[in-house]
Amino acid sequence: MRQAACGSRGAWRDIVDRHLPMVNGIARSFGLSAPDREDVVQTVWLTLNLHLPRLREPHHLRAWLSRVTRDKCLRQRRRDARQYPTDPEKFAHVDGDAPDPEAEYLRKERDEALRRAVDRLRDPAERRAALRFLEPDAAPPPQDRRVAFNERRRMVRRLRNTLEDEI
Amino acid sequence: MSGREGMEGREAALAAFDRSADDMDLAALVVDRGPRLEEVRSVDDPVVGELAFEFEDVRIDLSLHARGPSRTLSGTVRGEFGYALLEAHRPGGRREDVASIEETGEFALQDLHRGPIRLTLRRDAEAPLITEWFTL
Repeated sequence: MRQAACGSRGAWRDIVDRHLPMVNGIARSFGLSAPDREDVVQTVWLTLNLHLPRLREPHHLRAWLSRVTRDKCLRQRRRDARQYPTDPEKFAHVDGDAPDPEAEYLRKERDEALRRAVDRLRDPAERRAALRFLEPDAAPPPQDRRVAFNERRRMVRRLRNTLEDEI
Repeated sequence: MSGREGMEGREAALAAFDRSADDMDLAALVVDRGPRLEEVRSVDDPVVGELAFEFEDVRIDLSLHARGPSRTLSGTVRGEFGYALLEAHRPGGRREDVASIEETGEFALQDLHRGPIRLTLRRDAEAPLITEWFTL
């Protein structure tokens, strides 16, 4: 970040390549039209460029970008909201507890990391067992509860080690 | 590389890099409101957003009007200064429009395209003041 603030285009490129997928992912989760999404994402990078000399904590950059992207998406969505007179009865069945878009994105990112970790398990049977935990509708095969518990504990430990290596 | 999954917009992101404004004063966004609900049915070019930027004693209040794909920014600039111009800049530094600030502080920037934009306030005997980027 300091190098980019001092004028290094290479350092800026590294920042873009590292964080652009996250910024795009958050923007996609807001369901904006493609042109609006492109405008918002570009505005996020313009804003980072503007604030670069004022940002002091490189390890907070990911969180800063996440917050700014979410904020700009919300503003764009609000601005683009077209309002038509509508019968309130039409909204009676709308689910007010729908998941937050950012929470959905973070859940998807977590699941993808978990799937990568599962793919790195060596034992095919263990891989199949691990995948069952990621598929909530899949029924586990009948087996001894104690054996299942121990297997699961070993598998969770290996998955955790793999995820920690990835981080 | 820009076609790779998750890397859409890479060219625009790389092009955002520009250190030319690092020494300019920056007016921070202090207000950002959505459309006015009461005007939806009756106005041809409704206000789709209201924004305000502040730096020290200067405050820029903006209303964003939409008419089809065209956008207009109108509002007032408050502060202690004489003659002043307000410029609309696009990424890459292109100036899209310029408006003089009336004695009342009012201005209007018209026929703007959608997309990211930033304003620059140029005052007599003062350093240029830029706003944060926002999206029309």
